[in-house]
Amino acid sequence: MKKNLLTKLLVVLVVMTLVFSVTACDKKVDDPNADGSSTTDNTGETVGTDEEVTLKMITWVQETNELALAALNEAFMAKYPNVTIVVDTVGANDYPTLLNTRLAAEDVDIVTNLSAFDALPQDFTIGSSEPAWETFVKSGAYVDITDEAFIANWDQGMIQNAVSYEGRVYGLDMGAVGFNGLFYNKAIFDEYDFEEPGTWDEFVAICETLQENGIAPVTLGGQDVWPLTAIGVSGFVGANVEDMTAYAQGLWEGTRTFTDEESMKIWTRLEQFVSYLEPNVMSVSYGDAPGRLVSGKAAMMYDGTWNAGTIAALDPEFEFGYFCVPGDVDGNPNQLQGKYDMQFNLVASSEHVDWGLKYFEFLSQPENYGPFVDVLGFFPTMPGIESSNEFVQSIADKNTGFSPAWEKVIVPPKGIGQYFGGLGFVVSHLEELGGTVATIEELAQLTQEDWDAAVQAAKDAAN
Amino acid sequence: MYRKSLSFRKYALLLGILPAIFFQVVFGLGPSLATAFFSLTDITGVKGVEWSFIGLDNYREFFFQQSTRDLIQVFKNTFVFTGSVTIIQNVIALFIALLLNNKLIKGRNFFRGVVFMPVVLGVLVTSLVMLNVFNPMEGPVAQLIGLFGKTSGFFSASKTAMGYVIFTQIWMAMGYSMVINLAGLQSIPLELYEAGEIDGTTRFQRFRYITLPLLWPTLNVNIFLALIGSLQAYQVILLTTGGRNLATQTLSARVIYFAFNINAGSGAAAMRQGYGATWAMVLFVFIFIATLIYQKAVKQKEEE
Repeated sequence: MKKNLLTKLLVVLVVMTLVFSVTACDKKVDDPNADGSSTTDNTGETVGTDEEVTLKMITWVQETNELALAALNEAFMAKYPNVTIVVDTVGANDYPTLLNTRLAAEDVDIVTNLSAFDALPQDFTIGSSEPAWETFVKSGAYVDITDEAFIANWDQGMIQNAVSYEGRVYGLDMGAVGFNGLFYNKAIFDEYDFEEPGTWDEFVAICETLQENGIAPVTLGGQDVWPLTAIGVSGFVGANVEDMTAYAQGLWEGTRTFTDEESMKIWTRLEQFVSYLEPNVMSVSYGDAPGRLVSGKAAMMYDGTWNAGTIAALDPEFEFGYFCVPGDVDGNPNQLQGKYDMQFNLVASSEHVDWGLKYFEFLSQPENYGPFVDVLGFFPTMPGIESSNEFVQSIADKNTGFSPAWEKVIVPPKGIGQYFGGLGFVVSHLEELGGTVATIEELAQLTQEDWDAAVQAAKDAAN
Repeated sequence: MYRKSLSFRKYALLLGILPAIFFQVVFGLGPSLATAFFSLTDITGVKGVEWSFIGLDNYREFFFQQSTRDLIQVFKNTFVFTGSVTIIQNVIALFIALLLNNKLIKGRNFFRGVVFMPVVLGVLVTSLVMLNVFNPMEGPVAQLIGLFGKTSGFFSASKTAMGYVIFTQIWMAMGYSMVINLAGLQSIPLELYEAGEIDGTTRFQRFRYITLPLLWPTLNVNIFLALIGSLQAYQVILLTTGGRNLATQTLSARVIYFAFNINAGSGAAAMRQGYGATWAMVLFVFIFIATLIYQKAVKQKEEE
């Protein structure tokens, strides 16, 4: 009898626990439009000027982004004194985790995203995962702002290509950036009579001369890995492949390989580039790399145009320029490839959606967006706004044929191996950079093996 | 009267252990069973995203739709990390415990505190200390080996990273093993050593035939704790190498990698907690088998 009582108690406890665990995971599917399609229907909140409102915002650590955001928020809070904006930041590597957890905890009102809505699976990318942004949009995490009047203020190309999903608009992208190039120290270039290289041979000649004179040619934030294996790789694919979409499709369909002639050219140029990196470059953090350029520890730094403000902030007197990774033929000048950067999304679960929309409306006014994008150092995405940022003006001639970078084109198969990584051409596996692969040919072969296995597995899973 | 009192005592006992059972079920058994259940779903962890029961699809993906080469490396990393930490940590902890149990050592309480300090500091502080000590650009160790014309990437080089992660884990957890060993050593009756000395045994013979057999139950606990602890350790990996390349990823680090979208980049998929739960189930089986093997070995040893 007593044994039965104990057994019953235990069963009740276990069942209660399981019910608690399962119900804690909300299976409810929110209609994306139910929460966020219009201002007044979301919360029933009336936008007044008396109530005290705190808007929580998250972004990643980046000097100019934070400066620009601080100034914008200050201006908004000056206009609406009852509003306080709190911004939380983490490093770019940890930002996707922060985004996931704060959205899940419903503890944020406005989020920023590193990129636009891109890298969508194509017809030929069998079984590839949907990108996180698509998951969030489908889950109804972001407010649908299609019908807001301020949308008309923005470049409709950006609205259509960067922040729309199935015809609805879910965010605003703050500008375009390039990341297929290198910053260079003008004083060092002047000392050796270098000009911005227009061809690969010219770039090699510059690096060789610098090495002969005991100067490390290039630094980058190797510790964070992506400055080499994401944006770095993008620059080299972009400089050597004419039609990146056709190249990606060819890889999927087996008509192209990572070991074919054109691919090997990318590999060998990356290998050569690696030999020009400063010693122990994989230990240089992304945050420390600009300091190494400014202090003359390296003559060039591979990075995206977004980081110009960080360099300028380190030493306002420091003179620097930016050139794109050159190919065989002088593009005169070679053109930027990159992405739309810093996307703002309004969170549907926010208790202050109306104030969030006010913020978006404020940001969409040319008198507010203009100074904001100037500090960011992006190419503006609002018609009629000309950047007065000195650096942006200096590279305007490289932005006449702006196109998406390799990072935004390639969609890998699910479960692909480490040698392919995220974009292929992961030269950090080379022994020279602390990896385990001896030669570039071996690495190319391993990458192709990873690719073949993953594509075959995707096809098998689909059948 | 007596029967009534006995019955009351039994109910009182039952009531006494109920809170413990409740917490064990809620925070132990419940989440474990929930993990097994969620491993059969495509739950993301993103609020509002529909999830459904997908049968064995996650397990199919685990075994057939990921790089076999990577999977083998993760298992290899798990073996190397667990094996090295368990063996080295316990050997050093035993040596230090023997040393600091010796009454001839002056200030041994101070040294015990020093050895135990990393346990108190915790994984975050310990990892930051190690990252600074082994900073390849300006760290003290880099400067020291630089005097001999050598350089190393330490945590950032695939070839060496695992060694430094193992070192950090041992440095962090060894104090705990040492304290348990000390308690075991102090429970051995001194008379046995005195009798051994009278019989003319050497120092090594006393260790071999008195200390080791009597300390064996304590060592067992230590080995078992180190084995389970290192199989579950992911924090030290994430904090030192960021789990950015596969060279230091163990099964437990992989669970976190998939479940929480660690270092996955801006274009990658969102959290995949269903698939992460699948990795957790594989880890569970791995720990279960390791425990069985260890217990069988111990039983065999005891029978001998």
